[in-house]
Amino acid sequence: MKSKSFIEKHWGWLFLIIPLILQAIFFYFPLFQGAFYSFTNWTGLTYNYKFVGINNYKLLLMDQNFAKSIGFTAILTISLIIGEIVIGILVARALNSKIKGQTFFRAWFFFPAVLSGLTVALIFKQVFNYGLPAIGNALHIEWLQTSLLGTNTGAVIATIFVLLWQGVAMPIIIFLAGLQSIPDEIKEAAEMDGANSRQIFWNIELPYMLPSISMVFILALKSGLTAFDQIFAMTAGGPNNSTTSLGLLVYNYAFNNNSFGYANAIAIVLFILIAIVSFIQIKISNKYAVD
Amino acid sequence: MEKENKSKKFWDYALLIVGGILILIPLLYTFLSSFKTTKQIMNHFFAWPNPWTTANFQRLFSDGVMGYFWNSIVITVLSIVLVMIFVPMAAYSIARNMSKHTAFNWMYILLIIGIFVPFQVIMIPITVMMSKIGLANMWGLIILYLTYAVPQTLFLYVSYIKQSVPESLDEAAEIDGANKITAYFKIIFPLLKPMHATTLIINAMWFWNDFMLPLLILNKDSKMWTLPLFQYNYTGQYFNDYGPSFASYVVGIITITIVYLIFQKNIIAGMSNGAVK
Repeated sequence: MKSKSFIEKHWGWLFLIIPLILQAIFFYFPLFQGAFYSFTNWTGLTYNYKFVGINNYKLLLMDQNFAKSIGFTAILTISLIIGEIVIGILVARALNSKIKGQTFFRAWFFFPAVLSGLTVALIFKQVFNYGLPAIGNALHIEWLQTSLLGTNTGAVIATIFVLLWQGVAMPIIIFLAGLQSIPDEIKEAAEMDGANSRQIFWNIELPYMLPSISMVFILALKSGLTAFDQIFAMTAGGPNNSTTSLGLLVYNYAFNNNSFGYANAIAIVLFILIAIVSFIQIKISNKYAVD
Repeated sequence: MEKENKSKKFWDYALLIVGGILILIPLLYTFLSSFKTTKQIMNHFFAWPNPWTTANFQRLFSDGVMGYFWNSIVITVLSIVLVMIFVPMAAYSIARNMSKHTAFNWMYILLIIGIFVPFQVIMIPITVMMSKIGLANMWGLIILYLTYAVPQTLFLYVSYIKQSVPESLDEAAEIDGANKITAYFKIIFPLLKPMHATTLIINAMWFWNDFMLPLLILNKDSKMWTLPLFQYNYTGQYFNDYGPSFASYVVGIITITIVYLIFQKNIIAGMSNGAVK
C-alpha cells in the first residue's frame, strides 16, 4: 500500500526521469564540454590540452578558411531562402489552381522530401561527374564537357541546385496550405470585381501567405547554416574549399586536422547564429499552424 | 477574362510538367543505370539499358546489402518504439504539472533547449565520449536518437496535450478509481493518436535517412553500417566501377517509395506539421 502511494505521489517525476537522465548525459555534458574545449588547444589525439582563453576565437578572425566558409554559407543560405520562397510560391499557386491531377502532382512534388539527402547527393554526384559531361560531349557544349564539380563556381552552383531540388518540396506544401486557407468568397468577390490574377496575387494571396513565407524563410535559413550531409557526400567541401559550409568546416577541423578545440570554437559561433534564428522561429510559430 | 484564364492554365500545367520532369530525371536515370553494366553507363549515359542486366543487383546482394538494410530497420524501429514510450509520458507529466509546480516548468525548458542547439556544438565531444564508454555501436546510436528526438517531440506533445486533452478527462478517470498512471495508459495515450502519427513520421524519416550520426558513431565497424552509410562507403569503394552503387541507391529509393505510396497523406501532413512548429 505504501509503495503505491509513493508512486502516485511522485508519478510526475517518474514519467520524466528517463528523458532527463539521457539529456543530462548525452546532451548537456557534451554541450558544456564543447563550450569548454573551445577555450583550449585540444587536438583530440592525446588528453593533454592547455587552456588558451579566447585565443581560438581570435584566430578565427584571421582564418582564411573560416572567412571563405562564411562566404559560401552566406551565398548558399541566401540562395536557398530566395529559391525556396520563389519556386515554392510559383508551384504552390499552380497546384492550387483548378487543374487535373492535383493530388498526383502534390505527391510528386513532395517526394524529394522523403528521400535521404545522402542518396540524393550521391546520385547527383554521378550526374555531374558523368551525366552532364556526356551531354556536353554529344552536343559539343564546351563548358559542360568537364564535371561541374571540378570548378569553384560550378561546384557552388551544383550544391545550391541539389539542396534546392530537395529543399523546395516542403515549402510547396506549406505555401499550398497557406493558399488553401484563403476563404473562397474573398477570391470570388475579387474576380467578380474584375481583378486579374496578378492583382489577386499581390492583394489577396500574398498577405495570406505572409506567415508561411516567414516560416519557410526560417526553415531555409537553418538548413543553409547547418548544411552537411549532401555537401559531405557530393563535393566534400571542394574544390579548394569553395563549398565548405560552416557545418562541414567544424567536421574537417576536428577529424581531418585534429584541432578539436578550434573546431569547437567554430561550432559555438554556429550555435549563436542558430540560437538567434530559433528564437525568432518560436516567436513566429506561436502565431501559425498548418492543419 | 476567359483568355487570361486559359493562358494561366497553360502556364500552370507547363510549370508542373517541367518541374515534375526535373524531379523525375535523376531518379529515372538512377533506376536505368542500375540495370546497365558500368561500361554502358560510361559510354551511353542516357540510353536505355541494352541488354538489361541484373549483375549490379547480384553483386550488391552478395556484398551483403540486406545486412545493412536490416541494421537500418532495427535502428529505426527500436528508436521509434523508445521515443513513443518515453516522450509522450514525459509530455503528459509536464503538461499536467507545469501550471502547479515551477520545477516542472524549468524541466520543460531544460528538455527543449536542444531545439536551439545545432548538432555541430556537441558533435566532437559526443563522438569522443561514445567511443570512450564503449557505445560507438548500434545501441549507442539508438540511445542518441532517443535523446536527440526528445526536444522537438516533447514540444509537439506538450502543446497538443495542453490544447486538446483537457484535465477533466483525468479527473473523470480518478473518480472511477484510476490513478494518474492508469489514467495515462488507458485514456490519455490513446487520445494522443493524431500527434503519435506526426511524431512517428518525422522521427522515422529522420532515423531512416540520417547520415551524420551513423558516420560519427558507426563508421569504424562496417558490420553495423546503416543503409545510407553503406551507400556512401560503397560509392567510394567502387568509384570507378559504379554500376553496383546505383543498385544500392535503387534499394533505398524503392523502400521509401513503397512506404510513401501507402502513407502518402499522413507523411505529407506529418512532415509539414512537424516542420512549422
